[in-house]
Amino acid sequence: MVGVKKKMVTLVSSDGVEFVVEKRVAEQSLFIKNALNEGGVEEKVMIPIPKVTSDTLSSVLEYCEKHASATEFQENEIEEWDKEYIEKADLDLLYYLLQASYSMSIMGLMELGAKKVASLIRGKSPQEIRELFNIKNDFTPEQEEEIRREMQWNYE
Amino acid sequence: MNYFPEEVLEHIFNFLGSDQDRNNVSTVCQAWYRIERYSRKRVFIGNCYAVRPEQVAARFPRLMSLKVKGKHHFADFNLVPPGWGGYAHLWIKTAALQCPCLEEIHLKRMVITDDSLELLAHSLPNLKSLVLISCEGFSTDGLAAIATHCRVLRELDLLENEVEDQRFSVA
Repeated sequence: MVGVKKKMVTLVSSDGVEFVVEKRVAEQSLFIKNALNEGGVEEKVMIPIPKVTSDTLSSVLEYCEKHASATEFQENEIEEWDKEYIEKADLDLLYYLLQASYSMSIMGLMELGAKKVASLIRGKSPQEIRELFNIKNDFTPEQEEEIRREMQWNYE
Repeated sequence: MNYFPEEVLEHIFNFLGSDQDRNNVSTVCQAWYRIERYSRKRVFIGNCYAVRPEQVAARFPRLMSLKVKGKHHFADFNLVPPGWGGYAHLWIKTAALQCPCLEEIHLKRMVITDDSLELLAHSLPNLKSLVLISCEGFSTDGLAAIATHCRVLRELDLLENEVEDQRFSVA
């Protein structure tokens, strides 16, 4: 790679931190890819990433970096890496990663996070799920009773 | 932190797999109920009288696969009286009129008429799989209608049905 000048772009997180990354890394996000193509300007591009904080963005970029060079690895190596990457994310980060991957259009990361959340939900009761994600039960007692009754004998 | 974007939630639910887990997430809160409702593609009804067909169609408007069981398996040993029921008509009518996305219908131990099969054939041109197990009440005429009109049908599984053969009957 000596002598080859890499094209770089600067991403700015919602809290104002700048990340200078290779264009091919940033383009793992369809949102950024489209923004770059629309702009037509190659040099010194600054792209604001709204609603994604620097903590989250740095983790997102870690993913993008790995996947931008995916062709250099065996498929199972990438799978292993993905597994470890998502395993070490705590619940808060997982939530922010999902939000970021959705707003930045990074399908692979969104799938990875969704699978992880699904694995946390599996086998849990509605109340356990609410506690895990801090969700308020906004059903009236009547509605809840009705849904419960409908489920008792249906949709096994 | 209950504000996963809706599209993300739909993805999450699609990874759940079991209906028990889907039932559980639909009871968490109103938003989850609504998203689950629109994202559920497959339903299995273990007893055709447990729920009204139109109730199922109304709750899951994007249903692609419907499996319904009629009589108890005692029927296999002639232990269920002939007029017991297990009529598929209402299920098929509802499927035909209210579930435009349906691609897969499995019926077990139900009574199905040729009229119903014809209605299916004409209303669900996208039907890819029809599985009838231990069903009765229909003839080769009904099957002919399916074969004629369901042009993308890939699977027609007929197991232990009592099919009347109309090929030699006088019109």
